[in-house]
Amino acid sequence: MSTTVVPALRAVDAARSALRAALGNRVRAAGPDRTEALAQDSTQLNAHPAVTMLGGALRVLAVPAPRVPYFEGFLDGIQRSTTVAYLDGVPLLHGTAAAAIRVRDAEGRMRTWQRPLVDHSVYASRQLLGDAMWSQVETILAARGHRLRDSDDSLPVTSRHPSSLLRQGLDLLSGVRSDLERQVGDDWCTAHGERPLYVDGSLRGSRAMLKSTGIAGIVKSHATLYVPDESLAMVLTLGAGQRTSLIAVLGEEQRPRYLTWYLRLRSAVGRDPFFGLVRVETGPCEGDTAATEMQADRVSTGLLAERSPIARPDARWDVMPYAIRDCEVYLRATA
Amino acid sequence: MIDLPDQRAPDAAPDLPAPLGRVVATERRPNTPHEFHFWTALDANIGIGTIVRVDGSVAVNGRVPRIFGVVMEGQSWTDMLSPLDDVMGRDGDPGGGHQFTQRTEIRLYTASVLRHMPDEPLQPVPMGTVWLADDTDVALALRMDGYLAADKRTAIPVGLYRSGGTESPVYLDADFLLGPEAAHLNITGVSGLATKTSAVEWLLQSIFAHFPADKGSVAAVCFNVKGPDLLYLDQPATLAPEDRAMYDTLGVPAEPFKDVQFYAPYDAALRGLATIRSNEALQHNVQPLTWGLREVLQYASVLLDREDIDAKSDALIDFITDRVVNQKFSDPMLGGEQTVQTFADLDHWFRTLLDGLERKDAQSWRTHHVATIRKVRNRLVNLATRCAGLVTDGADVSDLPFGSFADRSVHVLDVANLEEDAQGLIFARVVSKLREHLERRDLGVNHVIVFVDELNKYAPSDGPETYVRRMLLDIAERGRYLGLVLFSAQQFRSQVHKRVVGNAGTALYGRMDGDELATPGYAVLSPAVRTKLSTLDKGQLMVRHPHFTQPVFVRFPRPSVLSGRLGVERFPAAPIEEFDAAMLRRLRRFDSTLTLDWLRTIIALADEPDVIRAVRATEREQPRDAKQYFGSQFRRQVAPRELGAPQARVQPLALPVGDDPYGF
Repeated sequence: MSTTVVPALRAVDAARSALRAALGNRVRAAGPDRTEALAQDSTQLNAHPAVTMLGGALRVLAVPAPRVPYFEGFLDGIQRSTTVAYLDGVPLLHGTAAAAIRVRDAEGRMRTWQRPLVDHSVYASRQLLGDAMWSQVETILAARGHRLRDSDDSLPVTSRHPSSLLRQGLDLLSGVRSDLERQVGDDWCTAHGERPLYVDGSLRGSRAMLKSTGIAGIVKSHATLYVPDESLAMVLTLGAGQRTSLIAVLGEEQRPRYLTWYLRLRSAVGRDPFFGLVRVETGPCEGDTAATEMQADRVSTGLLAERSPIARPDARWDVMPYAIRDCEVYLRATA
Repeated sequence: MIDLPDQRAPDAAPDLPAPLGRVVATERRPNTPHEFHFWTALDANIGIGTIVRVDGSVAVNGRVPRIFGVVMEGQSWTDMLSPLDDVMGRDGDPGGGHQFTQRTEIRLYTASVLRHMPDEPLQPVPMGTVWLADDTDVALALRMDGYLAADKRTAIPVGLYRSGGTESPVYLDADFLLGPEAAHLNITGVSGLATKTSAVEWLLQSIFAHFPADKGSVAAVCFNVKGPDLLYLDQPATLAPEDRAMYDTLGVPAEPFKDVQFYAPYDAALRGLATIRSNEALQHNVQPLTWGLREVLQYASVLLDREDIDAKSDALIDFITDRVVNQKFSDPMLGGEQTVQTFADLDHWFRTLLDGLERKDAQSWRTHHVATIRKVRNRLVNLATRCAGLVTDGADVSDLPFGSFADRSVHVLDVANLEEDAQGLIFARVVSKLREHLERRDLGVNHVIVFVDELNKYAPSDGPETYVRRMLLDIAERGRYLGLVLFSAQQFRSQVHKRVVGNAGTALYGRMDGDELATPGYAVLSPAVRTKLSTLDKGQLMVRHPHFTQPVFVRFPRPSVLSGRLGVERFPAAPIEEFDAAMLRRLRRFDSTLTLDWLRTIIALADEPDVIRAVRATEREQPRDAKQYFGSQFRRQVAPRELGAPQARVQPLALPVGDDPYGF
């Protein structure tokens, strides 16, 4: 195998060198190659249609250097699944979903805020099992503290293919996890109001969190782009410690539903353009644009403050703060 | 910062102690019946040597197991995968990249099992909650409950175990310290920290305070082999409040030894005792240690070179010992009856014998060749010279009170200023006499603790066989049956004869030298314990005792007796004096009114050896009227008196005639 790979790599290097010689710094090394992983990823890639650039056009802004921590809590959730059995060819999927907030104590060590929310359920298609069997299975599982959830609630049955049915169950499990995360986040809002909370993922599902200016949702994946094509290069070439200006994501009646911006946490020189790039979501701030930008700076500075310690060995360490990894480790150890 | 609620179980009583940790085990790091692992909070008050208790959760044979252990090793790590992660996290700047979040960190401890309760079935340590041991736990963990019971108490406090706010007394079992079950104690530690001597002084006080009455009486014989370490055992020290508190907790009076006698031979010039404890204020319990021919000849082999003394010489020495000394002996070659009682007598006996042989031109006497006789004479008579001060020419002997040792008495023999020969002789004879009396049960006490420092010198693991080493081995191996107990100390345990240290039932370790800890004898200790041993403070010891399945760290108070250094400062040694002043100082122990003028008057016409002999006689007899007794030693001398005015006019035989001065 190596006899075929090595010449290919040499050819890639040769091409890159030639391009760089001709075009200079506009050509950047791609770093660890994600091409093969992308080829196997079925996530839909698209652009968000309903956005508007605050201030007219997208700009690149330098984020002030962090001096003090900003975020007080870190919210994350996990899900874990395994196929329990096949009943008359219908898969029974066991899923665990959990969510928790970890906060820093006076020494900077992570502790759990309140108790984590954990859900253990079995997911199956009620339509395919039939009501009688469903009731029987539900009774058996209830005796062992498990809830039976109907995966048809997620997606209607389109195929009896077991993999399709499992995907159905996984979709519902993902929804359960999101619900738990939202519930924990809402509890934080109730208990602590505007106090800064780092939410791993989008805030879109929680009205309460979107209302709180202290809460920021950090999105690590970029399947959906929130900038028009002509501004994309600006995002992909952000330097470390730089962010874009604010982007309003519009909801009904073209009113801003929440704000978002891109932030480069770590230098991507020699790496993939998405390396160290996150997208931040916050609720729409009341007041003028300048005040909103200031709040975005505070959040961005707070995110830069979380770059160290790094979250290795997690593969997403370039965009994941250590506190979120800590939260995941905690949930995996306890849920 | 978000305030967190109390994470303890809601039903936990607020006044109960919090758990210290939890037992953990993995396939790669399993628990065994003799070792277990547990983690604690980062701020847990625990360290190497801490005693812990594990409460199991599953009953075995109807009893929930309870395990006691002592922490022997500790590890800590974070979830950092590689040191490079920290470099990256701080952008390569060791001082940069301030981290507001601390990595998750574990403190994982490994404990060696001290005791399982119940003992059977012996199983691996179960998962469970770990608690800091309290007083009761410490007693159970160290199996001290067996000898702390009121009806059969044989506990001797050795120190306080301190950890995590716990302060528990640790006891040794007298049956295993002074016999008969086991006996002897050995202490190791680097020099200069005063740990070894202090520990022995403290332990003697503890033994004297706690040795059970039904076990009989006990006394101590201490050989002061260097410096002034043991010379002020009767003088009080100034103790800090924390030391006094330890004495109170351990039930030992914080006071000096009440009954102490110090012994030292004379110096080579015979002007005073060869001891630093020569201050006039401390002479009331200092006695000379002098032996005559009879005392020495029995142990002459200590002083004689075995390679020099062959079988023929040995035979003659035995003949003299058995047939000549202390009895009337007559032989044609001697020309008459002689009684040999002193070295002077022996010298005279040899001279007479050799003169007789010369006169008769004989080459042998009673099968002993004349050359052998000359050689033995040379060696024996020379003993008095080699051990001058200890061995006397005369018959005056001053010795330990063999046969009348008092309970809780201490006898310190200061041999620090003696040559090695004399030290060996003293050690051999004193230990032999102790042994003889203990065998006959007429020493005065049932147990004698013999303390010897510098075992590296006296019982080395290599080097030639010596009489002293044989004696130490004998005590170590057979002494406990007699009540003869060896407390020994040295700097390097690895260089002491294995049978001496191996027979010590109890071993104490002070701060240790790194090179010593690297020797195979310490391989059984964990690296953390070895590290702790190399950094122990003054007053800290690691204790091994037959009841303790693992070593235990304790603290002991400063001795309540004056240290050697302070003793010398407070009681400076008497200056080197003129002969008559030195003799007066010795006599003033018995009569403080004596003056130098009086003494000079008495000894004006006497030779120094006669004066010394008279002073020794006074010291030996300790008469009520020392002045009269001492003076009586010179009765045969004509006392000097001042010349008065001439009583009679002296007439010239004849008057000169005229002016001729030569005319009569």
